[in-house]
Amino acid sequence: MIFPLLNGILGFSKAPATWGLFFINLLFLIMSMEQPKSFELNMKKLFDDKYFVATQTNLYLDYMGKNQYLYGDLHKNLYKKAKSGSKDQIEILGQLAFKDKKFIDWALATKPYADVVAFEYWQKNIKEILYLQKTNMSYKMGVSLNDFSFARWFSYQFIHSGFMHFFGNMIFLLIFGCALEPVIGVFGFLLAYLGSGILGAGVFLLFSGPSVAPLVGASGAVSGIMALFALLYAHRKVKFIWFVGFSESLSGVVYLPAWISFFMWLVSDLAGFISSSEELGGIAYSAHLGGEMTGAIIGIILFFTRYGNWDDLFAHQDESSATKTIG
Amino acid sequence: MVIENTFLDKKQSQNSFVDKQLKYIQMAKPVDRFAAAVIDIISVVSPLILLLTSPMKKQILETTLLGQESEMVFWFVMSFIATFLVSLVYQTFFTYVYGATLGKMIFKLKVVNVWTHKNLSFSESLFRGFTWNVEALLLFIPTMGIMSHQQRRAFHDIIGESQVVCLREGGFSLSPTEFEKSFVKGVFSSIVVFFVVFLSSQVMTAFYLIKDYDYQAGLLEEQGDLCSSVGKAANTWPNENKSEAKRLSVAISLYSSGEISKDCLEQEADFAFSYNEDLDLANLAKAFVYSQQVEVSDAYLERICNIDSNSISCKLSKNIENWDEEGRHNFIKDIKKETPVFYKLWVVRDMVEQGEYRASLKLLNSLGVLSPVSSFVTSLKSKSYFGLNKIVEADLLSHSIYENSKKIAQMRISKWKCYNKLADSCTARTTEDCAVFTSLKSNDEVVQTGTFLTSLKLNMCSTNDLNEQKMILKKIARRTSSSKNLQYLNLFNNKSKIKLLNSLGKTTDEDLNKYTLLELVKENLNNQEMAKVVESWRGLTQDSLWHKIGNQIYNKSIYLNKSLAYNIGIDILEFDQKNLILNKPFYKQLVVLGYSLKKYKSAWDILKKIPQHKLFIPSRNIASTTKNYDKVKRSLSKRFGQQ
Repeated sequence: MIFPLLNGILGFSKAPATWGLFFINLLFLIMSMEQPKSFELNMKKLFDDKYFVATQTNLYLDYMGKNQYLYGDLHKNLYKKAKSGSKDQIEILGQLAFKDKKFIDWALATKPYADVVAFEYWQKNIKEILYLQKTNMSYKMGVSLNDFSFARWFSYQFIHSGFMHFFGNMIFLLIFGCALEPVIGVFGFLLAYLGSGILGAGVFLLFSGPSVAPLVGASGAVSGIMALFALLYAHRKVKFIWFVGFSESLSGVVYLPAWISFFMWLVSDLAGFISSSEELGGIAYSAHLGGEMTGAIIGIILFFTRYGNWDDLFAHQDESSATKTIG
Repeated sequence: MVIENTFLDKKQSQNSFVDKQLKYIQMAKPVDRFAAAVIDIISVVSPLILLLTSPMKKQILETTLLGQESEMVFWFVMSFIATFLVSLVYQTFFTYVYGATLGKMIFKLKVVNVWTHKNLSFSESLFRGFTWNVEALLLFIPTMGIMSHQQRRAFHDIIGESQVVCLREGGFSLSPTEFEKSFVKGVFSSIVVFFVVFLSSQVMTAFYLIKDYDYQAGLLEEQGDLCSSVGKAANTWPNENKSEAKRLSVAISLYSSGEISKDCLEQEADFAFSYNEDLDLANLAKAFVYSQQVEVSDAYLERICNIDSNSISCKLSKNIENWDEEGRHNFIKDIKKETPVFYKLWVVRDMVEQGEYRASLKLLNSLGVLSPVSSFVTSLKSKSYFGLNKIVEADLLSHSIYENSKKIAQMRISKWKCYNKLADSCTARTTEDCAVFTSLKSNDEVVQTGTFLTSLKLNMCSTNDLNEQKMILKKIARRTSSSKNLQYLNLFNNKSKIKLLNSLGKTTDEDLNKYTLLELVKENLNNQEMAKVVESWRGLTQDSLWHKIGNQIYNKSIYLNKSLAYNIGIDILEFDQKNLILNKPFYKQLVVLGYSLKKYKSAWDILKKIPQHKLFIPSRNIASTTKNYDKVKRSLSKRFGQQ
């Protein structure tokens, strides 16, 4: 594992916006942990209910048969296989049906036909789930094709799916925020952070296909400030810790130019984006890429306008501290 | 460890440090080489590989979803080749041009020819890089040569005629110590032992699978044939019943006779729904399929009469709604000549299970010749004759279907006869009915065919030694979750049986403990013993088996200790309510029992809970409806108000 160290983590007075964002995220994390788990429990119960899943699949196949033009090649091939009786593909389609907004809307609005009992049973359960969705923070605050109102483009950045998701984003927010905020100021930092988040969401929605799974998390925004940092510090030496094990000889510090880190992140997000299927939807790589591009553009603008404390930017690098011993 | 920033330093010329000290080879430290490899992999190679293989990963994902195995394997191989090539090109290029990869440059290491100490040639770089990548596939185990070779050369260094040297002052390593050499020897020995054991086990498993292949193929083949049998059966349905030879009607008949699975029946029902045909039958079929989900099943049954209140299916559904003893009799009375076959098959199966052999034979004979279900009908006839002690007729009938059936079908036909014959005498093990079981080799085969019990009894019959019998009991019962086979304990006398059961009931295998309790309850237990059984029962996980045991205990305790029985009944009631098991007769009996114990409030609470259910799942172990219920109900209503 290789990890940037930069300037370390500064205090609140030196990085107020960074810490402010951190605490807002923390507050929403605590709120989401206290929410009732009924939505997750009911979802699990539904997915375990073979009767419900079988009914959903049959309805979805019916719907897809009538609306093939709405779907890409992957869905069409899955449909063909499911129609010919292939059990695995039937199961996959049954799961994918949940994410298809147009199908759910159609099925709820249609009067039950054929196996009326099964149809009514499905409708009843789906309505229950949609109702419970409203109590779930991810659906209340996340952005998706179901709800992409203006407020959601901001709110989604402050909600996380779990502690590890939160931790992963916040550690990078603190590291890069503390390095950037003293240079570009509070306003510049907030502009970069929120702007990257907004455009990250935009790119995500563009590539989310038919899926209605909501986007949550600060990844897009954090990717933006990471990209901004990498561009502003392009040729400067950046301290990285590398770590393989818990011993002096299995860890150390290395200095690499910042553009390498940008290259690594961009490449891995691009690879993730290319390797995922847009028809399956909900892949956050597109949000990362959107955020990175925004951060890069803002970085270029700031660079040319010299907005911020550019003297500080160059003063931070101390040649004599280039060599350090760890352990 | 000390690392310096190399990017803004001046470009280094040919390493004069090495040239001057030729007789001292500055071998690189293993940890520096390791760290350099980490930097190479994480910072350079991985991003490139990720990017280049991402389109292939997408293809792998899509082909996996589509179940296209050959394409999936193709893309997997392509991504593997791409990964290999990227790493090879990177290693070869940097080693040849710069004498070091980027990671090595950071740590000031260099790859030189071991004899001339100059940069490697292209071929040397290529061989070295190729071997390095092969070592990566082997989890870098061959690179442990760095810790044992005198010149700290790994296998890829030997192939590439190279050595990695350190250009930093003070950053070099000495030859491996004795500890390092012993450590490497130890690791290699462990790996060799592991592979020997692993390969041996794989060979043995493969041998077993090959030997068992035909048997497994037979099972799968039979399972595969079940679904297509509906169409075949409909085509061969007898002429006199042609009017009801609708596909779905045939499917329900086949399901009633156990010839097709629930999945097949559901497929047929869905097919009918999609064509809007035989909706009453389709709903009935679904009600059977989802009989364990009461809410769903009830909804289907209700729907049948909404579609056509005069249909046979509607009448059947109403009879099913009232499935207690009285309901059963009405059900049987309703059967006429024109009653659909599936109806009759369902009834006759129940008759045989209830031991009503005369009635079942009469009904079976009225069915005539029904070739699609002939095997089922004949086996029921055979069972009925056996039940009436007409052994000759029973044997003749089962023999007639036996010969044309596959091994699995033979075992299904024979297992109950063999088991029952062995109950009389172990000499029955030489009969045709038991012969098919003697060829079974493994317990897995036995469990799969549901003939475990019979096989176990055969095992027990093969020895008179009680200790050996006990060994068989413990060995087989513990190995499988089908420990219901403890029933063979009938071969022991009462005292030793209870003793054995008590010792078996305390294992870590909860399933075995449950089945042991089930057997224990059948014995003549006194109050104390029963109380212990109840205590054990309460500590078990609640599931259908727990429920069954509870019912057995309840039935026994009614005569032993009514108060205990009532408390057990309350526990069972709670379970029933949680799991939507609706058992009217049992609730009624509990109300009467509670009343007799003067627990009026508790009885009233139970009475209020007696539901108006639709589909009743009959349970053979519950006592029949009590006669005093109406009186009790009136009395409780007076006390506590109208229901």
